[in-house]
Amino acid sequence: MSAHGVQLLRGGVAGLVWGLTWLAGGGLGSDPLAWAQETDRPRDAYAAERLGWDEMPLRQRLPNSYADRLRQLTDSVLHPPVARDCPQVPLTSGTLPAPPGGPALGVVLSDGRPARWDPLIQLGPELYWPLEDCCTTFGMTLLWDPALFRGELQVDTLAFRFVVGGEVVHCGERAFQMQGPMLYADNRLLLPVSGLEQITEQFLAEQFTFDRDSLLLVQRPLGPVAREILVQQVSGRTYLRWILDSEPVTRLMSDGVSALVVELTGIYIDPRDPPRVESRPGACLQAVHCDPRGSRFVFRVGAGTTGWKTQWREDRGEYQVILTSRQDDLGRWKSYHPWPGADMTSAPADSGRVVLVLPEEEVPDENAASRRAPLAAARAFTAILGERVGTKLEAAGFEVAYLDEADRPVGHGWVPAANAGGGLLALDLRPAICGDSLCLGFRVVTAASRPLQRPLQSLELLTEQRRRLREEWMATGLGDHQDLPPLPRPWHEAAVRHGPASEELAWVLSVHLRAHGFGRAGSPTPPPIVRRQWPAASLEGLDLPGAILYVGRMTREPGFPNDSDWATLEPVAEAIALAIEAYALRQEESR
Amino acid sequence: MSDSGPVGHEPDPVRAVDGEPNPVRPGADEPEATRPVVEKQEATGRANDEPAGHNAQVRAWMRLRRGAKRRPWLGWALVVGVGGLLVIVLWLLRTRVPESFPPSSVEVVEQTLPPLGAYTFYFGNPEATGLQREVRFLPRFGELEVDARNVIEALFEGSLAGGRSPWPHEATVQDIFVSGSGVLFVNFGGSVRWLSLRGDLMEWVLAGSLTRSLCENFPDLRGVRILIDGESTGRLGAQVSLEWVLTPAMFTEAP
Repeated sequence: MSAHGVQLLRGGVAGLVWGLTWLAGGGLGSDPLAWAQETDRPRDAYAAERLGWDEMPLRQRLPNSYADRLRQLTDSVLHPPVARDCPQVPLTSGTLPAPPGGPALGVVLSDGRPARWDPLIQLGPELYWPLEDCCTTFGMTLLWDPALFRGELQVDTLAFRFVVGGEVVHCGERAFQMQGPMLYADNRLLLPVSGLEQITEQFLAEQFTFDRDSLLLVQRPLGPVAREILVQQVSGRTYLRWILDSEPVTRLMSDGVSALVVELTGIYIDPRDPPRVESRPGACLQAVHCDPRGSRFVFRVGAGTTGWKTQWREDRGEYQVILTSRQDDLGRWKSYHPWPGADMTSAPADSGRVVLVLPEEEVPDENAASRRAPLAAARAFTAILGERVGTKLEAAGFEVAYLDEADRPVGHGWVPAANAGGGLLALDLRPAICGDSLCLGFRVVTAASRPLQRPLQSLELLTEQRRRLREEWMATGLGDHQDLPPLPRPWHEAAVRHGPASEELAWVLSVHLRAHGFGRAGSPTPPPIVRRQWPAASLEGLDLPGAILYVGRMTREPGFPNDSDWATLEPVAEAIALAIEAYALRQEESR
Repeated sequence: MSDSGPVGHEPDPVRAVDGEPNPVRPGADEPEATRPVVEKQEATGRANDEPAGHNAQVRAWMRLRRGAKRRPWLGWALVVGVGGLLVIVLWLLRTRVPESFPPSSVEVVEQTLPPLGAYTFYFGNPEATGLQREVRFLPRFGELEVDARNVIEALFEGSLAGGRSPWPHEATVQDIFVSGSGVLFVNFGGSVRWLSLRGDLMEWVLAGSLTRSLCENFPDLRGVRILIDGESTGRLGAQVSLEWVLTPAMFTEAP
């Protein structure tokens, strides 16, 4: 049966189970969304193994208890939720977030500042824009006379003079009248939107466009725009081409693994119309970032890439970066440089070892004893939670290694010990301390692995470092150039390789915790569950998928841990253990 | 305007000098075109047998009229004077119209108060789920190091909109400089180390708010590097390495 047929069959089974559940009186449960997640494509094999599905009568197969719901949820998360394909439209800073509820002005900038919505204030028939937002958008300087309530806005060689309460703004020999007066309210100066329209159309038309109907202010590109970008793949080589008027000043950077950043000085993009590039297996354009100096194109390089080089073709006005996956291109008479991410390897991730990192013991501090007492209790609570999770995993057949977070500020802490044994994953459990108190809910954090989120280095520098490593290896006499074994991956690059798997782990954890009842609106325990990617130095160098789970207060009741927290300890441990089991199954299936 | 005859001509004996009207022959210096009309009027007056006193009044009036005609610049001077007065009155009134803005008072503002720039600040939001944006005015001096130090010190003061501030009260900036590659190095005092006690969230909020606030206000910066008491290795707390060049793209997601 084809894969499509299997998918259809799975969908049919899911629909059938859902319908039968409905008929059996189970209804939609407490949360329709969670129920829909749970019944999404159940896995018959896993269900049969875990529940004895085949032997059970139909009515008993239906999930009635919390544990059954979790198990069925475990089935559902066997399928990857995140598409890892190249985006059709690359990410830019000009992408506006979702608009807020009230009237708002959309500001899209081409100098690298993120697009945003500025709330507008309705006073009478006119909409007003706070002057500080206006100044920061246009880069204006304000001269303000607080005694007479008048001021001057300076930008470039222009000076707009106004008086609070006046509708006329003077700029040199010219002046314009707004539909409403300049206002001063709540310690803020307010500019009528009609004034913004006049400023943009009459004075700053070369830099900005403003559409009154859609309330959208857009900055024009700061200079010449990259007309065309081509990505072509021919016989193992991928060509990234820019059509330009003259030879550009370029800079190539990489994170050492899979990201290639091409920086073109003096070349810009239109943030509202970024270049759309047809991606190839050898490279796909993931993001474009602009700043006053130029633009940066972020590519994800194919896994088989072995070398790279650049060319400027004067006759065609074409700058190109060539990536190759052909070994013969790295020969002596070729001009290709070895790609720094090639020849690197990581520890195998096929063992069933789970690394659990528990909070370290609180160091007694007499001066801060009273202030730190709640946080010390939080550490103890988290440690107990981790031990419960470990016990459940050991019962499920996993090998669990307990590590303490130690030597954090100076060394790599528990990471060397985790890497030494290899394994399936590492989960760092920590109390969610927010200043002097404990946050509410859970936070799942993975090391940042997306484009531009990790520190980048010059590609030439990385290539040189790799060359030295290779020479050192050759000097050992253990091999020659032809059968060079994979080099050990540097610590600082390991997390990139495991980025997708770590994200998957974080997703599974959040899904299971939600299934427990956290993070759902209307549930008796509504603390949020936040999943984030952040630069996490404690995971730096970890050569296996990993995440940090911050455990906060589980109820809004005062004190921590209180009776309700202790009551939820066991279900939370169960949810985490089931999530790890689900993750292990997902990994097994993906191999 | 002088009514004297052309140069080289004998002066008319019946004409007065210095532009005075001629009492002997009224209308002697009048243009020919107007003379018959006046004579006709005189003749008509005599024909109606009007009293001699009335005729004298008429003559006196006519003398005055002729005198006015001899000095037309008086009218122009009157018009110019009235116009000037009008302009002065309008000018005085104009300074009281709110829309007006005499440049001289701007110079006064420039001398007394520093120019203000609108700066964007990021703080942790109260729900501890992300960063929230604030914009406020600060003095702008036009030097990157000075303005950046002002921005950092404003971050120390905390949010004005209820945002979470990760900075300790004793936080200080010891030194600040920009490298040739456009990276801003900020050397903090050792009190920033208290983050190890405040939790990882506060550490991210600190690094994220510092990096995004500086890089958004000064777009020429490529990134921010944190030093503590001159140290450039190790970690800020637990999660932010001092060896990293922090860029806004690393903190696009909320903590």
